[in-house]
Amino acid sequence: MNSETIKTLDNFSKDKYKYGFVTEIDSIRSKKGLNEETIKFISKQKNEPEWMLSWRLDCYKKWLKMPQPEWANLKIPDIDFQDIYYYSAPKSFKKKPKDLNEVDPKLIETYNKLGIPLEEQKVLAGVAVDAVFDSVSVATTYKGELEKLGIVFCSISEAVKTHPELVKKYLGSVIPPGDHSYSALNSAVFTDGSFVYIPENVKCPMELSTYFRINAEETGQFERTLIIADKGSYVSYLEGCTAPQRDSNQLHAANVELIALENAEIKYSTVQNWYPGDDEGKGGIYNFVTKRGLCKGKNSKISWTQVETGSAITWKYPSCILKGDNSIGEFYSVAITNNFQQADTGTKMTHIGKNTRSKIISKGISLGKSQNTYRGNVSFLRKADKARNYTQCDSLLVGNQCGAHTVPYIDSKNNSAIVEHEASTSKINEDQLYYCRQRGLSHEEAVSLIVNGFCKQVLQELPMEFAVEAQKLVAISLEGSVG
Amino acid sequence: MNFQENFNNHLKQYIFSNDNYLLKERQKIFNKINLNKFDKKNNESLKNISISDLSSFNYFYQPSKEKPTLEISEKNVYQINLVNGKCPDYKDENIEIRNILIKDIELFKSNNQKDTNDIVADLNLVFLNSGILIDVNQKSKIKICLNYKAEKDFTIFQHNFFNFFKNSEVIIEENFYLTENTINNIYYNINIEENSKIKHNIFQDFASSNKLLLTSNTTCAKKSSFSQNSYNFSKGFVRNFHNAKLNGVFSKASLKGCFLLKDDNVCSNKTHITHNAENCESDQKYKGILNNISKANYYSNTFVSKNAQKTEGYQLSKGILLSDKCSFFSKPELRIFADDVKCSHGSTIGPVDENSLYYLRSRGINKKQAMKMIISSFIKDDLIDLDKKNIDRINKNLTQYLSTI
Repeated sequence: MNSETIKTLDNFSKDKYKYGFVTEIDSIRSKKGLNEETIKFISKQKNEPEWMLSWRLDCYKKWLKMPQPEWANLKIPDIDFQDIYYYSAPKSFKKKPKDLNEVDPKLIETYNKLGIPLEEQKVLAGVAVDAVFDSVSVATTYKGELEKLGIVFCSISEAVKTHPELVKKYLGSVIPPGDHSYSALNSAVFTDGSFVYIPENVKCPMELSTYFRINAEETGQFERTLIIADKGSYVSYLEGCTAPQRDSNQLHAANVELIALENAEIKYSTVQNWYPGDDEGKGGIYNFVTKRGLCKGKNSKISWTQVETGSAITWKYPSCILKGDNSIGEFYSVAITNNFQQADTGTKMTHIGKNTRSKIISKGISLGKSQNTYRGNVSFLRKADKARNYTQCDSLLVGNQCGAHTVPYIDSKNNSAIVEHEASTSKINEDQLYYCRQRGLSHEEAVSLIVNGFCKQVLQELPMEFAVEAQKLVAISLEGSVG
Repeated sequence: MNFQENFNNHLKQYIFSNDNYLLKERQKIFNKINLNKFDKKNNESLKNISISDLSSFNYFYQPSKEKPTLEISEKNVYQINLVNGKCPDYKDENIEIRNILIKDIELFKSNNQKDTNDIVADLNLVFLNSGILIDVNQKSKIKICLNYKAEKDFTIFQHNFFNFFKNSEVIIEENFYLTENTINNIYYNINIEENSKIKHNIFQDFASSNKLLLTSNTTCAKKSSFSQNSYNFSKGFVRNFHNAKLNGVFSKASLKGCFLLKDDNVCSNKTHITHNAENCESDQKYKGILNNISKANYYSNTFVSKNAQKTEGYQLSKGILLSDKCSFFSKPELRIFADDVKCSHGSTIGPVDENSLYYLRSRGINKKQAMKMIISSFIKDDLIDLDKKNIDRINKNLTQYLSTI
């Protein structure tokens, strides 16, 4: 590594996390620790019906018996589940505001700081936002407009009361609570999240968006998202997240379930920028997320796009179960790790139906002392006639103290199915760098250009609103880091 | 006979049974397996084969009437005919060949095959009953043919040590003449010194009642090269687990293999190359054709340590599935800790290529014939550096396999 690179690597490590502020706001918390009382407390705070509480308690019992998952290539310090607050809500939220005007101005200010001006966006961007602050949904914009089309876009705790039949039918149907210990934990203590239902043959006219923010200290965030796209419908959903800068680690364990019925399409995009910890590896979010989509009906489609730049430790595998014939699953991912970050991310494509197709494009960039792993599973079951998968996962290494790993599992039980997998790991191409520099670009600009080109295949899949943010985020992540 | 009976009843028959250290090691492994204290879920050595298949068998080993022999048919070509894991003792200016002796016990103590989570390698140490040692002297240019013969019902647990000293050039050819109902668990330690070039060809074609479990650990010093090709046409279970460590700069390792499976045959493959030095190259490539209800798996792994800059590592796995009941699992893995590297892997599984089939059929070749042509070319693609005798042998096996499609 040349001295220039070392210098700029140092510069990068000084780059500060700009979302690391704390909002001083009074909050109501559950007692520390996890037991049946905590779950009853959460359920009571949310005025949940009896069936919801008993479902939570069942999941809690399952969680008690389950060991921590061990498959990932991560060093996870022991997590003391009794040292976490499982519920935290701003005090002014005891009664949920009906309108944005009733929301605490401090909260609105926080979201403005984060670049999520609820008011402004409502008018300008045409994006319907559901903002989740610690454990509760703060506000959902554009609700009325969506209601006219029959679209339900609200917090999950509201949906439990207003659409119990849908929640009962689909909650836990894609990610069974017993899947692994974090899915059971989330099912037991989830505090809020978004619920979306798109009725038959409705194309959602705007991007739906949720913004997650962890504010309170020692609080875990356990949100739950459930999206159901009925026959012939379409929805594009965006998710963003940030957290304050703290020395202690915080746990974020979310479950996201998508269900696409016949001819329906769901596009789910995430820009994950939780606090990654400082340059010594202190603090940061443990981001253990289970995301799974079910292409239940014929010709349905689920597409995951993610840009992962934050979190101290991430494990996350947005997956598709391709059950309906001719259904399509897609996964586009950019994961950038720096300093002491660890990421183990990838996808799982399970082909069950005939003519199902899936595509995986994953780009990993490791810098500093980070470890970046792609872990993917593609399986064709016996009945998946003429199914097809294409996987491409590329890794880029900057510096010789980081690691890039690729761990794909490929299993075919059908002789008409075709799977193609290719992966490569390399450093930034010297020839490309030379070409750019020869044309007057600085080393940094050249690297940024090459990396952006490297990620382009994924970034172009993001909706407009996110593409700009994501591109900036990639640029920030590289600022001064490589040249 | 179960595992416990095998272990207790024949303890005296195993090699080094009087040594306390090895006895303890054996006891430790025995307890681990007997009490199920190992990782079953992620254990690569148990893919497609159950622990009971590996540990429950009738242990049988005794001195044989037939003596192992050595022939030098042409100059520098050594034909070694092993019988039940035993070889003749021989020494000349090129080579020394002998069975392992009590003085070799240190080799086992220093050999770190523990903690690999490999049950087959564990069993090899527990039931160890034979082993040979081959030293090839500096600058020797020779060919060694190892012909393994196993008599009916024999269970052979063999540990071999091959040392190739500086500047040697050797072709090793291994053939297996297994009679009936034999188990052959063979573990190799191959040490290649500076500037040596080793080619290792393994031919596996035997009847269905036999089992062959091969595990090799190769270390390559500076500027050395190791090229291994395994050809599996067996009707019985074969496991090929081969590891190589590139410890010297500018060394090269290539681990390749192909397999043809049919009926209910199972085959388990793994290659693992560790790059510990700069400017090394590696290549891992396995290809397979599966028919009927056969099953196969292939794990490949390229590990590049922090100081192994300028590494080039390639992996490829290809599988053709001919029936709707066979299955193929592959896991091509890259673990990279150095930044100036070029590593890649590719993996495909699918039916015979439709376009190629169409091309041939449009030229008047019937479907069956066209299929045979495509499959032959798929295998023959890699038959380089083989002599005519071996190519004929592969052709014969291939024709036999194709006749059942």
